[in-house]
Amino acid sequence: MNHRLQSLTPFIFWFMLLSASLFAQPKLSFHLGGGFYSPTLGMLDPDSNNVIPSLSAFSKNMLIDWGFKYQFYPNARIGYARSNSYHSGKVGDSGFLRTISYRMLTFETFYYPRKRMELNFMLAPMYNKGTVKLTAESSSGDWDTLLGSYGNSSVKLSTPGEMTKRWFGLASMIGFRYYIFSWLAVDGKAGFIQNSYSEKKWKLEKEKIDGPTMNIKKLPVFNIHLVLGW
Amino acid sequence: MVKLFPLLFFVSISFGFEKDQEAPCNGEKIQKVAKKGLRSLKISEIPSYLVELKNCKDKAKVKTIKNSANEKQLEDDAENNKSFVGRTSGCAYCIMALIVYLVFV
Repeated sequence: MNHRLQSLTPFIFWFMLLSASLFAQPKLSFHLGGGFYSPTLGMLDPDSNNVIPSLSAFSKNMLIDWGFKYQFYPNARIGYARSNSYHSGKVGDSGFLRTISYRMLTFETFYYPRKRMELNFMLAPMYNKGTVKLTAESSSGDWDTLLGSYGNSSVKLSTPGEMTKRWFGLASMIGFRYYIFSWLAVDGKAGFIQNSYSEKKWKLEKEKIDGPTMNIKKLPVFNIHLVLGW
Repeated sequence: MVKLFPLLFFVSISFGFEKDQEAPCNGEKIQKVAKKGLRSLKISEIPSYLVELKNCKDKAKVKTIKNSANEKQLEDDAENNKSFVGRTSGCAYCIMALIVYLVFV
């Protein structure tokens, strides 16, 4: 009975959320876009660490953004936004993937100086996450023995390993939004992301290790988003 | 199977509307939008509004309805959000001050 109730809990949550969205008059908006910034990636940059695969401008300076916001007051919105930076390549024979996610709980106030034009001011506490993942492909002697007993040949297995680090931050941005339609707008923002990152205490399989020495304490950021909202 | 019920429920709500055959260009939702703006529609009412527009055979009129609804909503939004006083403006000044500080420090 208890197990059944537990399995129904997420179901009830989504049901209530969807119901509220459908029957209330929510002022919800979703955004999708990109950002530009220039971090000093330290030992995650091939210039300072020859183990790291080559880095394109997209991987170093571009962010992929998405998020949603809810207007809870005539001039204010809250929401969740995420800016991700990706870098992939090969380290030896293993696949390499580095991700930095800037995850923001946004609080934004705004006003319209003129029709179609909005100025907005955003403050967002952040809980960011960095991951470095290596996926090695190798064969296992024990697997080969077992598979061989069934008449199979050797199979290559992929073995992923991931080191992660989480840290707090604060984003502060000023933006300008132009409404093409009442439900579609283009939004540009400029501001800063501040991070309390330290290279200590990265985690790999519950082991605490030292990570890359990124200098991302204070980063100027420019974003451009397409905003869809009702 | 039980998990399909809410999906069916929402689909039936979203699409279970009546067609106004007599006045397709002057349906309930179109009138509501004309009076109160686009955002007066609940999300569950949007499909009905779009179908009312689709059922209206006079395409020039559909374009006029869409444009006027859009313009009215933009005007309402600009009117409702033109003033910037109290706590919301205070928050904006704090953010501006923080950004200016970060630029120079």
